[in-house]
Amino acid sequence: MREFKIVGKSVKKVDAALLARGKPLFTDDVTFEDMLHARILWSPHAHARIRDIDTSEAEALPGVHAVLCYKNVPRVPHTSAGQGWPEPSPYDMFMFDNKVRYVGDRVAAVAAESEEIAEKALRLIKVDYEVLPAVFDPEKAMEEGAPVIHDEPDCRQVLPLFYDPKHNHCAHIEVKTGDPDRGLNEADIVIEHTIKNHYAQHCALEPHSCISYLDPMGRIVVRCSTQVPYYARRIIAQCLQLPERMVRVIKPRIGGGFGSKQEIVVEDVCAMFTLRTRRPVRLVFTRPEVFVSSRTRHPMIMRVKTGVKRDGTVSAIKMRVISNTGAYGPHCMTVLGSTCAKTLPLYRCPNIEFIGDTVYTNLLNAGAYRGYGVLQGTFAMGIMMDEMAHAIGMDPVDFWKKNTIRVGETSPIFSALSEIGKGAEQKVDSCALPECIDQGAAAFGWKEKRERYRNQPDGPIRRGVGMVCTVHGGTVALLDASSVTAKMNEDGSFNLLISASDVGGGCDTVLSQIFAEALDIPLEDVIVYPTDTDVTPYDKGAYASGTTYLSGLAVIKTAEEIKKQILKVAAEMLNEPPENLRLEKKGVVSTKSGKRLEFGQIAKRAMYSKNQFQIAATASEYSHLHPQTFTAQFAEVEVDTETGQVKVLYYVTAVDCGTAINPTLAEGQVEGSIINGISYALTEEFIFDENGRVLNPSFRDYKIFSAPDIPKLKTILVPSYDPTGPFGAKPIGEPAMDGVLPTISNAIYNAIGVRLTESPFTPERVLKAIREKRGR
Amino acid sequence: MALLSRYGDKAKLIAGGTDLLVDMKNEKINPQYLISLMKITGLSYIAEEGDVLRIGATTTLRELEESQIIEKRYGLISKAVKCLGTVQIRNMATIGGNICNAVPSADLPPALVALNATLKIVGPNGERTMPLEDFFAGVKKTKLSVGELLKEIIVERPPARSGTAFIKLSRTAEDLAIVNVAVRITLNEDDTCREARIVIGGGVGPTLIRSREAEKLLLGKKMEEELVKRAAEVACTGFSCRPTSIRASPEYKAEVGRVLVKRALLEALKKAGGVVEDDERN
Ligand SMILES: Cc1cc2nc3c(=O)[nH]c(=O)nc-3n(C[C@H](O)[C@H](O)[C@H](O)COP(=O)(O)OP(=O)(O)OC[C@H]3O[C@@H](n4cnc5c(N)ncnc54)[C@H](O)[C@@H]3O)c2cc1C
Repeated sequence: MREFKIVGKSVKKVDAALLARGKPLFTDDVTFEDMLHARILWSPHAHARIRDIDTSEAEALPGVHAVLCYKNVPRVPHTSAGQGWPEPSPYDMFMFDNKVRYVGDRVAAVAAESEEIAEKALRLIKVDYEVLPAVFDPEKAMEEGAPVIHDEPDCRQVLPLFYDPKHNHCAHIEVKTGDPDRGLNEADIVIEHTIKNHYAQHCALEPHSCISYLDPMGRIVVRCSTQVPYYARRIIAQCLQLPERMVRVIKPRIGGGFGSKQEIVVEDVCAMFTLRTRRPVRLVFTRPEVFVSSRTRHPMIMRVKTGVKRDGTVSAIKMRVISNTGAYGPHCMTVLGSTCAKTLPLYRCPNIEFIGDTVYTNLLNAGAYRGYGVLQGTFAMGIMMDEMAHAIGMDPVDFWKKNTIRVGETSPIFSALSEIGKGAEQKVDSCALPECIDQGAAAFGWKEKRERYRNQPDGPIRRGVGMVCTVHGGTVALLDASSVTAKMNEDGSFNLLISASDVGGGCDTVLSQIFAEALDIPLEDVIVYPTDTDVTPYDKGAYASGTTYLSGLAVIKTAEEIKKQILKVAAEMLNEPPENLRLEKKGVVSTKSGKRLEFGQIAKRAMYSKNQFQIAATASEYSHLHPQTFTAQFAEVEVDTETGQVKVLYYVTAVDCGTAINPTLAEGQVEGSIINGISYALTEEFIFDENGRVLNPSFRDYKIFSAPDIPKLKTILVPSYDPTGPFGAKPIGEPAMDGVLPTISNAIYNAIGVRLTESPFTPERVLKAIREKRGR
Repeated sequence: MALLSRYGDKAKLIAGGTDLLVDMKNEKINPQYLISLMKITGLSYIAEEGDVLRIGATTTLRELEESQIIEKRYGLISKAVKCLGTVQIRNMATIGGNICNAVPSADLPPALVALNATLKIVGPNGERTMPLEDFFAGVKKTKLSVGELLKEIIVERPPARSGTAFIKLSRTAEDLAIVNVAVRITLNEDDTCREARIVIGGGVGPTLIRSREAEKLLLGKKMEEELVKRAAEVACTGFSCRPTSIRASPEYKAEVGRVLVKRALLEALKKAGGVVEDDERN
């Protein structure tokens, strides 16, 4: 492992002071004098055809400048999923359609002088609906004769991928390695469970926001809360039928995304209004709109069958998954693919069968959400591993250690499947999972607590412990790419132009640290400028936990290019060959003559004196493989067997994310993930009525954890170094969240002997499970 | 008062606004005028006079929480206040607002009813008093007439050999109750029950429920665990929960209601110095 100067240090976030002082940094912090306000009319029906829509009264209302609906916008099949091109998600969306497919689907929109007028105009729109039968159960949706949600002739998959909308069936994946049936036959014990996770919303504190306007040349500038500025530009251009050059996307500071802003949810409508009215337009979701009409997590039904031998070897894994994507299919295939491709490589089991289907229903639109299918897969496998360990009487710690992949090993899954199709050959380049398990177990007090709770006295309040290991492959291998531009200023400082999209996680800081480290300069000499598609070069954006890893690699490459140019100028100035020179503390030193030049001198010479040129470089990198991040997680819970209430008392997460470029920020990602996960496991839940309407679209009724609910947490960053990553770093944005559901389920099982296979573990559901177990 | 009578039902009183403004934002109500109580001097106080405690209606929950008198001698209020919302909410919210908002899930009313609270109400025709127990007329409905406001809450100090308990079950720390329970019991010399007050809130009906029948069961008897369990059963039979509650199903509320009442009674008994036989943990 290397010694670093700035990498590995918990420097303050470069934007921390600005944020703390409330500077106007977010999308909605600016305003324009002649700005219009847009509001959207949402469907009250889960499934209906719009026979006709009459917007004349709304249009006539003073202060209204435009009304959009299916009648007056181009019909462009597209996907809102912010993915590479062509997208592996079906083109099944339209800016507005003459059909609505869930309660909360777009019907029409108004832009007016004020939000109040726009709201009033919405109420004047007359919609004649032909209400259609709806289907909410994904298994029923696949049955012959079920209502067809996408019966329009123009929905399609652009890639040669499975797509059968006539049966509400929008993705199908089959993977088989080894001989799973033989594996099951050879097992001493075969265990089977059906495990189900539930819908949830990301609850980013900043709602989906967009302000668009025309620049003097008539191009559309879109300032929006996006995780994927370049994809946003491409999709906005697509929906508006404009060339990309007519659209400029600016990403200011973002108040959290977690995947929900990896989708184009407000931008197309906002930009369309600007195009129609030639005026600045603002479209910001209310909280109920964020809950219902942005994106959610895919609920999955996972039937898992595994075989285990008495010696503790897992001999077969069979997984049959039905994923509910709701009314549209953004990320429908890739989330399902990740449930296999990014989850199952953890297990040293040659015999694996995975069959997955994603299904349309008339419920909320699922999309990308931290965990992205791996969370679901880990929920199922985390429980199965615990059950198997229990069945053969082995301590889970030993069972996990025995059955998880090690450094240098490969998994047949890697090459069988990636997120989007055939996978890439790869091995595990770094893996400190055994150390994570050991250090986590020690810090947690695993052995002692298991012993203590085994012998706890009778009573309604029971305690227990559970653990799980996780893997999460970051980036989309072979597809994701990042580019970075840097240029040198007279004083030896640098502008770092990136389209890596800091959504709050801190990549502006982390990438500055990597750049400063690579050129041996202080952090304050890096002026980071994030994302403006007119200025900063292409980057995939913030998803798949890939920014530090992939954009970090591009930063290093760019720094290498810059270094070459600096040494060339210095060589001319010193009249020495570049081989004699090296960078040191913002200067160049000759190892021969001992002479030293400051970066400022070199920059000035390059700009003003001789053979003038701008010291600058742009470099790109694409993802060659999925770097594997590992965690081991331990939870201690208290279960009230009379009320069903579960409290997490202590949660330890030991993480192998390679080099933590900024340990505090890495811990922040881990702790944020764990809190996100516990809140999801215990309280967060959408409640629907029988017509598919969400009954609790507010923070008052949809509860997420706040400060007093957070249990004692401990995060251990286990030292490790990934040879493929920037200064040894691996991804950390999502991996920790994957393990929370099964860790808590396992701890509950340890406490009361009742297995919770359906999330969330609310008091009511836990009590019901206890009662079922007791046979009442 | 003049403002209230001038604007009648076009106006709403606002204290801390933590209920009212939420309702206005959700467009449940749309008053033309807001009359703030917070600038009226002499409406915010905590005063102990012998065996009664007088609390001004605009006293904030934070002030109740920090009051030594309440902490020491009216622990039930203290306990209920601490379970209510977050510090930020408690800094703004008032006791009068928690009562007059009249939602069945509020946390203070059960505790106050258990302490036999009475309300002092002022209006155009002068003052009147009313037991808090009789004050609620339904969800968001009180027995205040147009032009009246709540001025003061008067609470009795529990006599010797009394014990109280407040238990709230909620999804998260700042959520409203799934069920909350407040009890106060007083024992005779011989450890039999002299008085019991059992009050259940948390949307188990349109208003909180005081279970006189369950209380009667206990009167004059030794509070053995079996009896306490039976009282809890009885107390939780008369629930009429909204079937569509977001927080929990009616069946669940009834089931945990029984558990919480039982636990609250046993806790109160212990505090009153009675012996709990066959004590369970917690
Ligand atoms: C995030 C959050 C969490 C909360 N958690 C809880 C909780 O856990 N438990 C709980 O019980 N409550 C909770 N609440 C509700 C609320 O905070 C309390 O009910 C609070 O005590 C209301 O007091 P207020 O002064 O803010 O009332 P306001 O909102 O000012 O008024 C509420 C109503 O009472 C009327 N009113 C107020 N004072 C008087 C008076 N003196 N005379 C006549 N009418 C009057 C008003 O006209 C209005 O109709 C929560 C609220 C929020 C926003």
